[in-house]
Amino acid sequence: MSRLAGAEMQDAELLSPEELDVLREMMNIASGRAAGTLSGIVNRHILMELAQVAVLDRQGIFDFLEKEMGVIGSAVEQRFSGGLVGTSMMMMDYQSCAQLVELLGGEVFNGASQDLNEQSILYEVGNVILNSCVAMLGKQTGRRMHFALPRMYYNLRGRAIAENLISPADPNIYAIAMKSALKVGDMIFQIHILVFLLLPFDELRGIARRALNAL
Amino acid sequence: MAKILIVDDSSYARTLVKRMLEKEGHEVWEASSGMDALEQLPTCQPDLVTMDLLMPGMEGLELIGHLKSMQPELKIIVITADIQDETRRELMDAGADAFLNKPVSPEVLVNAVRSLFVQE
Repeated sequence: MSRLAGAEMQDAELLSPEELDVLREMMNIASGRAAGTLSGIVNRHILMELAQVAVLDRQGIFDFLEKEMGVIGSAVEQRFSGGLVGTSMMMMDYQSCAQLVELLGGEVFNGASQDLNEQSILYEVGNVILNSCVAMLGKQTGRRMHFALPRMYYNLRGRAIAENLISPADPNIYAIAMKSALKVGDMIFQIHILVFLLLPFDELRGIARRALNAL
Repeated sequence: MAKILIVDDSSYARTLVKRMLEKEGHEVWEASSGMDALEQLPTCQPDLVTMDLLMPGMEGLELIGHLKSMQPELKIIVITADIQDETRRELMDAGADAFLNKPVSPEVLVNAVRSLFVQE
């Protein structure tokens, strides 16, 4: 399994292997919900890959977003707050974006130009998939979240997202980052789901410790 | 009581399942990968394997094939985050006896195990 950009050496320094294992398991279960939801929407079997999960500090978040999100066609971002705080993103390249719109009966666009119909399809699909994924994280941690309205991005640059995501006034922020690729077998179609839980370190560790203590 | 081999790359997931099964009096063994499970099979000779689907090295479908060829009467319960019906069908066709979704509750797991051995 390849390492997430920005994650080099950080996992081992920040959390114990047992703590990281708990968070990976929770994120993989959330990724499974996203795949199941997408399968229901497109009425196709979704091939899941093992989600990549890493714990990142502030610089790691910037590195991750800059490297992982350099060339992205479209993305839907949905932030959440309450019991857990963070953001989730569904990202696609142009080809996958066109395939998704076609699967759902919309007209395929050319290049970066997208009409309102296509935008609304991506917006709705992103909203449903991200909600199911993040809600499963909430269920596993026993926390209730409030979801903000999704936002659409085109020609996304990762650094801009990171700057928008992290307050300069809060240097001690950490993230659990998950990258999960969902594919439809007989089509060239791939969606990446990113989920960031943005938490103070004690709270991040506390989620894992509570799960381990409950064993 | 049954002898059960738990296969999951997550030690947290293994421990969760282990605690549920030990409470019911089952003898539990653990494997952290498909390859580890295949190596332990001749020694452990379990009545039942519970296994994850997405694991590094060898995925669940391939593992079911190996397990069934080595021990055809072996019962297999898949416990996975993949909730899709088609995945369930594929695994049941491959020889799995039950398909449970993560996170699995003690009641669901215990009932699934009981139903497999009541059938006999």
